[in-house]
Amino acid sequence: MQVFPTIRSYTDSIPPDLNGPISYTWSVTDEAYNYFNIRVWYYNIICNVYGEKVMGVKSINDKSLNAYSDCALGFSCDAKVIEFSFSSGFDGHLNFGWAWTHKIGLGAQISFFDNGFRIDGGGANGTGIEYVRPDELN
Amino acid sequence: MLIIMLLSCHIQIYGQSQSNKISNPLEEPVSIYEYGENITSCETNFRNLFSNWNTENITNANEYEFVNISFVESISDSIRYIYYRNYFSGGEPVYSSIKSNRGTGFNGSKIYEYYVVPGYIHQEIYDRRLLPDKTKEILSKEFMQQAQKLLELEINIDTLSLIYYSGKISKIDTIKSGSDFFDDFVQKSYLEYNIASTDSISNDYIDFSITRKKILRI
Repeated sequence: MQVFPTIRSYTDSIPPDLNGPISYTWSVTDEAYNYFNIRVWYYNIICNVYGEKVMGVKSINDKSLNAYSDCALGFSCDAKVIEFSFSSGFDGHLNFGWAWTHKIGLGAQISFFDNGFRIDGGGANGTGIEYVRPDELN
Repeated sequence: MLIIMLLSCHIQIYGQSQSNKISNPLEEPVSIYEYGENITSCETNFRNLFSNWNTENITNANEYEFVNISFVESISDSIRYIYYRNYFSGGEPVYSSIKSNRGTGFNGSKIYEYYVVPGYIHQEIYDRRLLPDKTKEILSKEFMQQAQKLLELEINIDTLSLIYYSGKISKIDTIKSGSDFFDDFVQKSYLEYNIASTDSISNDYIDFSITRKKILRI
């Protein structure tokens, strides 16, 4: 029987954890129920950053940012996420801001402006700014 | 003053077109009542609402059709004001529940969904059919009738005394790691609330509705 030598590629010699897809997920979520056990408000802000690792060097390829909010009759809830800047590559980054607010009654509302965001309605709220670098992807 | 209540719709329009909503989110937002015709009277707000009621702005706009608007009356005295004040805090006003989904997907694709569903503000107190079965067992018909009476109680806003509660509770600070551009920093967050009541508010209410230290399990 003829034995053929195994063709060994360059990447075969690299431990698998030095190469492959990597990602980072940031999220904030909350919800509340009324006395009737009906959900009255809910928000979920989620950010995913995807990249890859080549020879142990991490880089960013793409991202998704999503803000979901849901409120029942008699309540208002808003959630927003905004991308300030994004770049791909091993020196890439994602800089984004997020905000949520909710209250009984109308008026919980978030607006983004040049100098930041404004929360109207006087409801409970939370805000923040995040900066994601390739190092944070796993 | 135009008295009309169609839908409580708080959608905002950014810029001149749908595509600008997400791509230029830093633009000054415009209310759906104000976008379009210049506001020259209170009725203009509703004409703008009619013309902006489309699937570009409201994802499920096709499910609801505005039929007409009409001027009801000017509020000329405190009696009529109290009447409308009681109407809008009672059980009949139309309200809306809203679902919103906005963001940026892969390759820069835009996500925009905004659903508005009208309904009566306290419909679960008047209509038990959609309540979970366990809730129906606990909340008796007598309880619901008492709740209805409270809602329908006529209030004189001129003589009503309210107790206001407001607060700002510091939550645990988060230490965020810096980057090439920022040093490490402390991210502070707060829980703010502003509420008013005709009577004192119990600690249970605060724990359940505001700080949410207590959760209702049925």
